[in-house]
This record gives sequence, C-alpha cells and structure tokens, in this order.
Amino acid sequence: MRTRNDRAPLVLILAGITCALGALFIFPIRDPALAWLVLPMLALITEFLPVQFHRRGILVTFSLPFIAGMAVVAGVPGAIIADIAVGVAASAALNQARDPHAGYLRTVSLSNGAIAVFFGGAIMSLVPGESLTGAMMQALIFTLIHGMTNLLLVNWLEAGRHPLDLDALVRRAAMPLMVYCLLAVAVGSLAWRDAAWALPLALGPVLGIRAIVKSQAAVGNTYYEAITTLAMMLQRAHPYTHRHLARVALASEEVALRLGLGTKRARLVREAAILHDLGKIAIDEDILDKPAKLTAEEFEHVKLHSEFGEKILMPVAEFQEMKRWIRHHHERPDGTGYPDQLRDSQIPIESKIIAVVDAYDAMTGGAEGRDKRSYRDPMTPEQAITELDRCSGTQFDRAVVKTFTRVIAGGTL
Amino acid sequence: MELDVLLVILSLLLLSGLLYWHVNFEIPRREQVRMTQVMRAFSTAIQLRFPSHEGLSNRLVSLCRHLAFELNLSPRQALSLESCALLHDIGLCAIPYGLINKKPMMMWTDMENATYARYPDVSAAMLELVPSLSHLAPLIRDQLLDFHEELAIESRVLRVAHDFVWTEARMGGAIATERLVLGAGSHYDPIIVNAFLGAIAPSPIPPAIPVRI
Repeated sequence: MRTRNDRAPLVLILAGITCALGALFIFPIRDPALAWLVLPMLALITEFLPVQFHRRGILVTFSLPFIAGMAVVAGVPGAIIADIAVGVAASAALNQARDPHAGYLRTVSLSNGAIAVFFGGAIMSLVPGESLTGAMMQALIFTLIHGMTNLLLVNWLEAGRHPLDLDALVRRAAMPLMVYCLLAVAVGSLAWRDAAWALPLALGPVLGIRAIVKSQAAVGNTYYEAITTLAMMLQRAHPYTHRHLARVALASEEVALRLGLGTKRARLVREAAILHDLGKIAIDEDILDKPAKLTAEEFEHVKLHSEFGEKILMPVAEFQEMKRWIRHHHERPDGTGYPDQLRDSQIPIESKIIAVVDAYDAMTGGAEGRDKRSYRDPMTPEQAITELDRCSGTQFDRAVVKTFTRVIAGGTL
Repeated sequence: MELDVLLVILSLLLLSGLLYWHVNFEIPRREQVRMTQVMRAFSTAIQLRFPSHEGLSNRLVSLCRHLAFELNLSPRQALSLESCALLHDIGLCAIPYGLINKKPMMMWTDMENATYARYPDVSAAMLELVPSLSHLAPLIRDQLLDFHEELAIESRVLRVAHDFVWTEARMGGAIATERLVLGAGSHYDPIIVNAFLGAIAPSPIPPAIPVRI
C-alpha cells in the first residue's frame, strides 16, 4: 500500500498486534475439527492468486470467506492465527521476505487483517452460533464487518491526510462485498456441518470473484493507458513539455483537494488537467508556436481547441464527466471567455482550477523557467501570483486563486 | 448427506455458474465496448487534425469488418483487425498540420512523401508504449510490407483494405480496384484480393482476374 501519511502504517501495525494478542485472550477457541485443516489450506491457495492494482499500489487477495469459516468453527483466535499463518506462509513462498519493501507491505497488510478479524469476530460473537442459522449469521456478520473494516483501513492509508471519499468507496465495494458475504455464509455453514470435503467447491466462486476484480484492475489500466496515449498524441502533434502537463496536473489535484472536492474527484481533476489542451492536436502548430502576437483569425483557430478536446473525449464513457471541464477551461467569471461565454456560476469549479494552474505555469515556465513560452520571458512566481490576483474575479475565480496562492506559499509543490 | 448441505453445495455450483458466465461473456463484451470507445477517441483526434481524412478511417473499419467475415477469420483475429484499422493512423498526429491541410499532395517533395509514408511506423511505435495495445504494433508495422506467407493475416487484410481506401479517395474506385488486381500476388495476398473483389467491389472488375493462387 502506498501512502502519503508516514505514521499511519506504524499506527496500523501496533493496532494489529494489539488486536491479535487481544483476540487470543478475550475470545474462546472451539473444539478441533477437520475444517481447521482444510480452511487454512484453501485460504493459502487464494493467497497465491492475488490481483494487483498497480496504480494504487494495492494487492488484493481472496482468503476472506475461508477465514470467516475459521471464525465460525474455530472461534476468533483460530481465525486470527489462520490469517497470520497463511499470510506469512504465502509471503515466504513468494520470496517477499527478501524484499524489505514487500515485507513491510505484508506486515501492514497482516496488521490490517488482524484488526479486521478482531472487529468482525467481536461483533460476530454477539450472535449465538449453536445452530446452523446462527453459524450462517455469524459468517455473514464476520464477513461484512471484516470487509468494511479492511476497506476503510486501506482507503485511510491511501487517502493519507485527505478526507475519505466514503460515497465512492461504498459504491465501488458494495457488489463484491455482497457476493463475498453469500460465499462466506456457504463456507461457514459447510464448515459448521463439518462437511470439510465440500469446502473446496467454494474455490469456484472465489476464482470468479478474482476474475471480476482482475477485470476491474484491467479497466483502470485501460483508462490510464487511454490518457497516456492521448497525451502522447498531443506531444507528437505539438511538442508540449511533459513537465508542464505533470506540474499542472499535480497542482490542480492539490487545489481540488484543498477546495474540498474529495479524493476521487480530485484525481479526476488531475487527469483532466493532463488532457486539458488535448484539442490542440487539431490546431496548426505553426500558429501555436508563432513567436509573435496572433492575428484575430489565428486566435479564432486556436480557440477551437477547447471544443476539439471535448469532441475527442466524447466516445469514451469514462471521460464523460471531465470532457465538460475541458470544454470550459477557458471560460472567465466575467463572461468573456470561450467557447460558450459562461458566467461565473455556470463554469464548473474543475475548469476554474485548471485555468488558474495552467495560467500560472504558463507565466512562470515551471519552477526554473525552463519551459518558457516562445514569445515571452518567464515571470517570477511573485510576479505570476500578482498577475493572478489582478485578474481575480474577472479572468480567474477568486476562491481558486486564493487557494492556489496558499498551495504555492506552502511549498507543497 | 443432510439436505441443508446439499442445498449449500447446489448454491455454490449455481454461484460458480453465474460467475463463469459473467467472467467469460459479460466482462469480455464490456471490455470490447470500452476498447472500441477509446480507439474511437484516438481516431476522432486524427480526423479533427486532418479533416480530409474524415470518413476514410470509418470506411477502412467497415471494409475490414466485411473482409473478416468473408475470410472467415476467428473472432479474435476479426477484433484485432478492426482495432488495427482504427489505430493504424494515430501516427498521423506526428505529420505537420500544414503538409496535409495546406499543400496539395501532388506538390509534395520526396522528403514530404517519405515523412507521410512512415506514419504507420509512428503509429506502431506509439502503440508499443501502451501495454494493452502493444500486440497490435507489429500488425500495423507489417502492413507496409509486400505480401508473403509469413505475414499475419491481419496485416495482409489491412494492406489490401488500406491501399484500396486511400487510392479510392485520391483517384476513384476504378483505379483503386485496378491497382489491387495488378498487385495481387506481389504486393497483396491474392486470396484476400479475390475475397475483396468478389464480396465488396464486384462491379468494376475485369472478367479475368490475373491473380496467382
């Protein structure tokens, strides 16, 4: 797990150790059964089939239904021991121990699992498990609480110091968690009935869920590859510096976060910022690179780029939201922008953010002025901020300029 | 075996079946739709840069689809052929705006002709950097090569359809067809030319087709 909050993983590891030790002493362990052997073996098999979300730095494994089964038949201590043992065994077998970073991530992940098992087990224990219905309820509750705790912890680590986007989290996780719960109920009831021979049948649905999660990871990859390819086409058509796009993207995301847009939306703003000038693919590079003031006709041609950007993104469902931001990134609060002469309240906040950050970067030519525009010398950061202030309320949104100024002053970028 | 255990086992089998269907049919269908959308975006960018190319890409895609059917290509080959047709011209973004939009093709210098001719290579080079599309790069690059048996079927079909569409746009359908006929066996795969002429452009063909099969 990648995180921007350095202390969070440490807190998680300490909490994980506390939960693991606490569970061993607080909760009773039940009588041994054949399922005690079968369930960890099945959990171990799934640990060897993880799915990696490369961009988010997250590794998803699929042992939860079997750990839930352990919680039902062996009690919470059994589930914690099985979870940790399986994790350590998989880590050793995959040679992760030799890689300090992988070992560290595995430790964080095990701690995360221990906390989730502790809370899942604690709530589960409130339901009596003496009947089959009770065992099924226990498996359901354990999986639900475990899954939600795990998701919250992972997203907390990922979000770092920014607030969690709970709405997006629930929407993304609801369906897989529901299928997981059904599966855990089946595993829990088979384990409770001591039908250990039938437990391997649960591997079928687990592999199905894995394939679905893998396809979700692939969807993410396709999306980012589309952005990369479009940016590459823009680079080929017009030699944009990669540094300019990267800086505008990074700063736009930061401003969006500070304006309270939420992590998911801020990430979208970052991606839109990379593509904000995409329409320039269809603009004559002789005009874009002209080392003099543009004629009215030339300027009209250049102005088309925001509409072209929207048109290019139109066929892709995932770009539907950001295409509007790209269309309006040259609108002005005083209503004299283009292409639609929108007034202040009609302009999306995301477009306003991109407009401010892009203008600042164009004026300064980056931190060291290396990416200066061909027709003028770069300004100092102070001069550029003064210029943004001067145009605040007419060309740029006041709140965005104020927030961006704080970002620059804070040296976050 | 107790009834409840039997019911749970049946539920697991049913769940496995549903997930199997979802994974093997629904997900690939959605992925294909998504990839096609993305490729259409690339294609739109090129059509906006060079409006004179508008429609050519769509015509090429539609011809490739027809040919894939006529030649009985597998769904996998048909999909990669259609993807190649959509993506083969993304390298045009590296061609100067003024060359195509401001200067008639007849007035191009040798160097300008050479610059233009290498755009499939540029497309392939760009696709090589995109993991999910990199498998199409060699197919697009090989469309520049003359016919030989080792070439992938997608490259051979793309070569025929591409040359026909481009010649048709510049010189008309009759000349485009004639060129295909003359080039069959040397530049083009004769089986594909035959399928093309038989199924897609039957009217202007001379009665005897000089192809080596």
